[in-house]
Amino acid sequence: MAIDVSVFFLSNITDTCAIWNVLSSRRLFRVALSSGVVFACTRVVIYECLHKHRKTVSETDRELQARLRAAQAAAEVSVYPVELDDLQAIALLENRKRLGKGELSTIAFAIKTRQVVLTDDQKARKLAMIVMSKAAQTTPHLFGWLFFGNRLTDPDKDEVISEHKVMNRPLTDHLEIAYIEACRCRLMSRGGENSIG
Amino acid sequence: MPLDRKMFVNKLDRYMVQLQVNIQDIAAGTGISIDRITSILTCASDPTGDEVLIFADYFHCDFKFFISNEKLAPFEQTESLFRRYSHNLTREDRWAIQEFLFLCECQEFLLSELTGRLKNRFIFQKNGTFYKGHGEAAAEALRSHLGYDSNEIPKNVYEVFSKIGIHVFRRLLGRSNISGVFIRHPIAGPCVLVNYNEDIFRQRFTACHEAGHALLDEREDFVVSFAKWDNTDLSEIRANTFASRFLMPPEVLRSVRVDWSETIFLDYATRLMVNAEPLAYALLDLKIINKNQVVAFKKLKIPAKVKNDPELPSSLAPRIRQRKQELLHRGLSDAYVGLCFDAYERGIISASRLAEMLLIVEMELLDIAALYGRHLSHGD
Repeated sequence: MAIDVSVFFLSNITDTCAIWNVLSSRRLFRVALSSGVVFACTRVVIYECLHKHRKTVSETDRELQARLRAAQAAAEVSVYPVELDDLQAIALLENRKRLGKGELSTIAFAIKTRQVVLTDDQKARKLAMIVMSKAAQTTPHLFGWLFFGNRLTDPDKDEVISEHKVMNRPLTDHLEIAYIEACRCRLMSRGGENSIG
Repeated sequence: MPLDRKMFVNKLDRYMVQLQVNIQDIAAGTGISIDRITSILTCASDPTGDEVLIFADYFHCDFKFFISNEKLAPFEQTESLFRRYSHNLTREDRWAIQEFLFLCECQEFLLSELTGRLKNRFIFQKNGTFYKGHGEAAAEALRSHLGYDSNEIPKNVYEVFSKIGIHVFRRLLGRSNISGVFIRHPIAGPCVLVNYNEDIFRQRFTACHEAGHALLDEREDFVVSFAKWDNTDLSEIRANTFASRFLMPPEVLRSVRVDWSETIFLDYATRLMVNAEPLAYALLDLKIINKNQVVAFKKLKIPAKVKNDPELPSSLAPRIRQRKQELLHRGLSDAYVGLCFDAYERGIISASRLAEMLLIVEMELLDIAALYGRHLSHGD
């Protein structure tokens, strides 16, 4: 799916996969926050990230969990409850066996608050579009938008990707593509930038 | 649709009893505070949407089950099962059964999405009251339904039963005296759990035995089979006869024209992939050998080296073999994992749902995808 790096919705309801990707790079997370990007998630996502039983917990899991706890404590990631009524939208009920519970709650909350879902799973994005009118955003899209607006600079690219890789996250190729796209668009527009808050 | 608070609390309460967990356990496993759970359980407040989703995930059930009157979970079945066998089933066994039923429900959904309505379902109509005869006739009818030659031996019985609409999963149960469990799921239909603790040949026989219950005990919601079974129970005799005749058809046993020596006996047991005892009794039943031979033959041991798990061939690298065995212990067979990834690749389920169906968290997905040579599609 082609992304428009010149536009990025600032308020994001983040699913489990995307929250790990955003937190995987301290540089990316800090610059996103200082650029006005707002990250929120539901309590189900917090359950999946921090409380759900897992057979093994790796060092990178522990590190990312510590970062999420710190971000939550500093109100850099806000956590919101989803009401039961929000879950009972017919389209959500019909797709409850296709989406994870974190995604169901994320979409329900995004529909209610008319905000955008931040998800890095292509299949989830396509399924989300069945039940909500707004397209979802991705971490590489955020990364590209930050470059397009000169909030991230060229030396940051390698640092962000390196931090992302150290945390065993899977978006390296997509981040590279988003960076190239941002450079191309920046050249074309000569530094123009846009954001939708 | 307003929440029926009492119905919700009643279900939550009964799940806690069934799975032997208390408020502290749930709080530790979900991150929901003890005060909040207490408030919900005492009907002092309604659960939020998040809490319903988290409870559903914790108890491995469809969240709609908690908020509707629809029979979406085998709730009554497990309640009766756990009550009847309260002394035989440990807390770990109960959770294993709950996870197994979740896998069956997922498999039913995935198969219906990927392959459409099952066309090869097998239904057997019993005649008369001769239980053993039911087992013989059902095995013969199923072999015919599957288009088997008279001397054909089913290789992968798990695949065979899946084709006719019975969900079969193998997984490790804490108590080794349980061989298998059959449960009729309101959504998934007949479900069979085979104890992975038993040897490979025994697992194969147990799968057939439980499938016999699924096909022939249509009024039963569940059956638990123990390693030492009651040989006066007609239903057990019938299921055993079904398994015996399905795996060891009389045509094959009668085709042996030489005297049954120990060498021939062991050779046939290996080829039929059955242990010595069931083969000895199958031969006695057909009057091919006598009781003295049964006593001698059933003591014979099939060499462990020939009892290879088809899912763990010796060609696998040690680390991969160990990892796959860990997954098999939880019921995650190659076939099931493959089905989940097929559904993901075709856009039927998201990666997060894929993780739920594989009983893992999102972070563990990359490892399993690599193990099975699959690919996850991440965002651009």
